[in-house]
Amino acid sequence: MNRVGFATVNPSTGEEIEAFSYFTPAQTEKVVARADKSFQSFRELPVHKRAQLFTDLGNTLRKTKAQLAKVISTEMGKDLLRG
Amino acid sequence: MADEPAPTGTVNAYVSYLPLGPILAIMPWNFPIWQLTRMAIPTMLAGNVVLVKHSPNTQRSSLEFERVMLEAGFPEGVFQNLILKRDDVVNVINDGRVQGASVTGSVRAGSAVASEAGKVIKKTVMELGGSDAFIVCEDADIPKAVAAGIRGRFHNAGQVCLAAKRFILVGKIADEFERSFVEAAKSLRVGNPFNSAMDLGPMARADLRDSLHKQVEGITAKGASLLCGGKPVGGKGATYRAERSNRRHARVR
Repeated sequence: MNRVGFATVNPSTGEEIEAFSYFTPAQTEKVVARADKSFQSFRELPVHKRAQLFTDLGNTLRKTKAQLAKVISTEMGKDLLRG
Repeated sequence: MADEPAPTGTVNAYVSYLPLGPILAIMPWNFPIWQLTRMAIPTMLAGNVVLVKHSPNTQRSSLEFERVMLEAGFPEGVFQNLILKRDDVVNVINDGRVQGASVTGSVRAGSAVASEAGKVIKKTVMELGGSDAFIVCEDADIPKAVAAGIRGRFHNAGQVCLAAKRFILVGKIADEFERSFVEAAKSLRVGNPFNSAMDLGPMARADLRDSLHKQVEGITAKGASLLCGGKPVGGKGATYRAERSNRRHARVR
């Protein structure tokens, strides 16, 4: 870990997985501004529509489960079978 | 989410539920994606949007979750990652557009975020560490209690906020429970988390394994006896032998 970024490490092997750079203040500003802007429309969405999005998310998570589990186990060593 | 009337008898009054705005989520590595769903569902159902600062060691998991949210049809910008240095988190807490913070993690992290949020009068939700006792009574079904204790102590390589961190055994059954528990702990197979024959993967980071080992050395130095495990597994990873060493002699009658 240093001032510009960090690398993730596979705890099973001690090997580096990938490197990430910390966001610059300008990048952070862009993300926070986008959040603020999206909030203005997301808050107007009826609650049943927001709930439907989470039902859809559940389906997408089930569909991508194997791939996500692999990322998790590689990054923090979680037992793949038992979660 | 609908307004609720608040009868005053004189004026038309009601309680209205309104979303706050962007909420900063500081999330841990132990359940990298589950934690995000747990935070995002109530927060976003209520109409708020989420900014996530995840643990560095599980950054990809968090980015993958953001991608899956978009794939599921969520609008852009309602759930986003911020890859931040710890020192930069305070700037986001102070940002006038950010309305609150939610932390799952250590007491130290929670305290640091709550202090910063408190200075600018922002709401926080904290889910911090526990130190839960697993109590075995005299009339317990010992094999069942041992199985539950093993699950409670070693699930996710023991890295669970509500893991069974201390075992309190009633005197009469203490020896029997201890014997079966140690036997069961010894039989746990530790190794590659992708191998389905293993019961336990490594710990999430080598430094966490090292600090656990220091704690084990600390208590054995103070007179606790090591009943099994208690040492790092050789090699480059962060694997630790399942341990249950810290029998203390305070007994509950």
